[in-house]
Amino acid sequence: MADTYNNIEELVKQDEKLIDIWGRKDAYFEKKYEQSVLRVVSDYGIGASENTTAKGKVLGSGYEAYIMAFFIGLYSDKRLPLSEDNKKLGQPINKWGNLDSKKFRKAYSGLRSYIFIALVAKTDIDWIAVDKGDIKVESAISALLETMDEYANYGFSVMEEKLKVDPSYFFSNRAFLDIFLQLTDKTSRNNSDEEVVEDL
Amino acid sequence: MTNKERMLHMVLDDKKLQEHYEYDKSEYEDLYTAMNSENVVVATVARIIKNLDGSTDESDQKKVYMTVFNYLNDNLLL
Amino acid sequence: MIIQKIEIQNFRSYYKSNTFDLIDGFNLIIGSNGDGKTTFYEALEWLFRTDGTNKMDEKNISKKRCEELFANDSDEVRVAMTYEHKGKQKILEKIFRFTKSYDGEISTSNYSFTLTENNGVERVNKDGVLFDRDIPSEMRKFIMFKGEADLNVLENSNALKLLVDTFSDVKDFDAYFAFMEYATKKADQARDNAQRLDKKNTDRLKQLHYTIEQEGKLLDDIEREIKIKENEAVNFEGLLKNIEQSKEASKLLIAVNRRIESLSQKRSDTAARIRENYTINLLDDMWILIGFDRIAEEYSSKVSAVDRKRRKLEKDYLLSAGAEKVIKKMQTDFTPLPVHIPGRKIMQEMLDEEVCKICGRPAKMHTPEWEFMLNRLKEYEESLKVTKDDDDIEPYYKNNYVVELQKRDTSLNDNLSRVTTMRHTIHEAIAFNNRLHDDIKKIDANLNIEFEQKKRILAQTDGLSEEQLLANYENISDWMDKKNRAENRIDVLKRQREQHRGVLEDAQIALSKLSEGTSAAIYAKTALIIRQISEAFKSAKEENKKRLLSAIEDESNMFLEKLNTNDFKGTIRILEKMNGQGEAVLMNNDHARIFNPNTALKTTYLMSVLFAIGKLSSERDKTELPLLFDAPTSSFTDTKENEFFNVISKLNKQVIIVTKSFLRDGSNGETILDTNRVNDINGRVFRIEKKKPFDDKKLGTIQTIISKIK
Repeated sequence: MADTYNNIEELVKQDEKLIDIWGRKDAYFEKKYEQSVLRVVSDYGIGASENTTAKGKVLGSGYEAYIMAFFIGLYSDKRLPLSEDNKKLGQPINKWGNLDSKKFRKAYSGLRSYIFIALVAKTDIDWIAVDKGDIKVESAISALLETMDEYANYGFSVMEEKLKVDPSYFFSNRAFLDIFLQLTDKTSRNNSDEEVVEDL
Repeated sequence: MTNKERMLHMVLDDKKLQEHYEYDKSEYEDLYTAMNSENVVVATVARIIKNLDGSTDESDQKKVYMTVFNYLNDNLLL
Repeated sequence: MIIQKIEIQNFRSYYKSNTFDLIDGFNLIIGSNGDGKTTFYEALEWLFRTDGTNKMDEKNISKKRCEELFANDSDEVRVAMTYEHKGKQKILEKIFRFTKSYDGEISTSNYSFTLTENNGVERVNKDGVLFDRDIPSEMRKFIMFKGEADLNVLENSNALKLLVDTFSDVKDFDAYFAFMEYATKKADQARDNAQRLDKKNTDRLKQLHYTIEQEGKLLDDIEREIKIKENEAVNFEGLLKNIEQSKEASKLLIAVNRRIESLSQKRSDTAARIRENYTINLLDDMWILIGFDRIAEEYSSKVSAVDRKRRKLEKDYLLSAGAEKVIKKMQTDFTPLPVHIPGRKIMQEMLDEEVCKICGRPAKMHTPEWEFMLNRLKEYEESLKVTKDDDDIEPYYKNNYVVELQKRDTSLNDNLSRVTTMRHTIHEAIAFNNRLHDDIKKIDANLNIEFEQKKRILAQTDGLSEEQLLANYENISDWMDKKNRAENRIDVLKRQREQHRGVLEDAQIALSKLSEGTSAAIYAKTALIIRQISEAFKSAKEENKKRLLSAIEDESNMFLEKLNTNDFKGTIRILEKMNGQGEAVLMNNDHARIFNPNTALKTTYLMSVLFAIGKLSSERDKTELPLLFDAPTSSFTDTKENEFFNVISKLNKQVIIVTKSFLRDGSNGETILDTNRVNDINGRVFRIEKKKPFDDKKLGTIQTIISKIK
């Protein structure tokens, strides 16, 4: 199934696509989350060649924590602008999910396409102007990246809150899964609530 | 029944001995009858029991042996 | 013998003088642990000691009395038994003096051990060792028992021999054996001497003597080996008997271990199938897309709208650019579909199938609808050509990013169904794992049951460890094997022995016959007779032993009937083991041996045997011997115990039983006598208890007091 997802890019032509321009970029996050979140749940800051499980962290590279944070923000539909005190994640987006040498892991490079799709969906860009050349494609990409960082920023703040309450929160296998189940369930529950109201 | 007579009976009750020397119970009802039995073996056993009297003394053994030996020599029919 | 009185003075907890007046019948001495029961018994043991050991042991002195003594003061330790035996009244007495010195040290002196006879006219003092004549020391094994463990006196390896020797009809077998050996040797010598003088048969004589000698040696060897094998067989039997009771436990243990192993394996197999790294699933299996359908929709509508607008703008531009050639192509006034859709292939299909796949209506060949489609196809083909011609018009758009976005939408749609079923997939995975967890819980529950079972097995096996139990089980077949081999060998050897005895006998007979007609004849005959009489003595001894055991068996079973308040159906058998050891065993009605009778039954049958032995001894010696037991009935219920004692009291025998029964806990935590039960006893009852107040840690406060209850 993951393979199908990973093939989503094959239908697009071989010119430099938007997604490739975007892929060369890096993500940014607020420095304060480095200690309080990134180093807690991922191997961020540690040599990438070692196995995650050997170090006992729930996630591998730092971008995996970023991806989690991004989706939290995306499904909550909440963004937080970044403060001045921020830094690069350190791995270009087009490397995300390319886990070729890790044990017990599978590559999930196709996820990038979905992130890109979400960014386009959630960012207001005059694409026609971009196609006409009135707006530089670089600025469009920047807008997309800003959306991404802001969703992730919100996500990080949520994660930090949880860790403040329970420092071992994310050690459970279900911690992240439950967050996403809850976030996506709320939507359907809201829908069903509306239906109920209508019935009445 | 005295101790001696008990022993007399027990020895002479032996099947093999009875077979070999053809005597029966009546021959050794008591020590006295046995001593005077016509059956040589019966009489010998009686003598052994009576004369040894449970002694382990070497001199007693010698005496009893001589008695028995002589008795047998005198009374055995060849 | 009837014990009339026992006096204990200053012997351990028996401070100063204490007297038990006993009756010729049932005597019961009741006391709790530590009250003086065992001391009573041990005082008698000390009194009866005729081997000169343990004369003046300081440990036997009453601590309390010691502490009371002033400097240079002294008192006596004295135990005395007044009894009647074979018409005479006697007192056996053992005394020694203890003195306290100025610095508190105790010294002992003036040891005396006497047996005083009162033959009606005068009192005669004799050395106490003469007590052996009244009850030989070997006999004392059969009359005094310190506890249930002691009851199986027959298991002592010499016990049976002693029994036979002591009680046999004939006491002097050994003397006669010795004599017969002597006589045989002498007679043989006489014969040999006579025969040697007979020149005629020298060779034959030599041959026969040689044969006799050889056979004799062989028989000796065989005899030796038989003894060795018999001991082996008995040893293995003993080992097997010991583990017989644990055999059952071993089997159970092996089964339990096997089940534990298979369950543990199943558990780890199940656990290995659990894959619950859900965090990783979110990324690697893209579970994180669970809520993406909304987003995909947003993207789709956004991109479609942009695409539509974009095309419209392009069309407006082309229109305003005055490209009439292009306008001509636009024959419809609605926004044309992008030229890519539907593809050429599909258009051709529609023409061939004569149906419009866009609106679903049939379009038969050469109808207006069909013509329309044909035109569109031609236009399309034209437009391909036209695009090449139109390079004089500036393209409206520099980039085609929207096209990229639109294409992505198409493939996104194709994959969307998988996203919508994501929630289901995730829940299935979770449910699968939960089922495995449940399976593990069930397995764990079963494992616990097995572990409990294992604990129970190990707890009941008399302190045997698991390794020992399992080793025992391994050993069982090995030992059975060895025992059987030893027994088989014994059979073989016995047959060989018979054979060789036959040969020997024949040689002896031939030897004597050889002298027929010669002067040696009579010596030969004499020797033969003496030899045969010797054999008769040997078999008589065997016969005697068998008869004795049989008598004991019969008597034991008669006592068992009387004493058996357990409704047990079966008999006692006295078995003689291979090497002369004896055993009293219980067999049920199917002649199967009962290996582990419950304690109450065991006590009953062993006591039956002892009563039987006692009865036989009284018949032989015309005197009964008393029996002293220390608490053999601790495993009986109260009612059974009462029944038991009452049966004993009717046996017409003096029995002295020391016990902690008949006591119960009172309301203030003290022990009190159960007077109701005591009233049901036919006999004399004493109570012994420590005088209060006392401190268990200070021996000097301990004093036993005797009270006669009835």
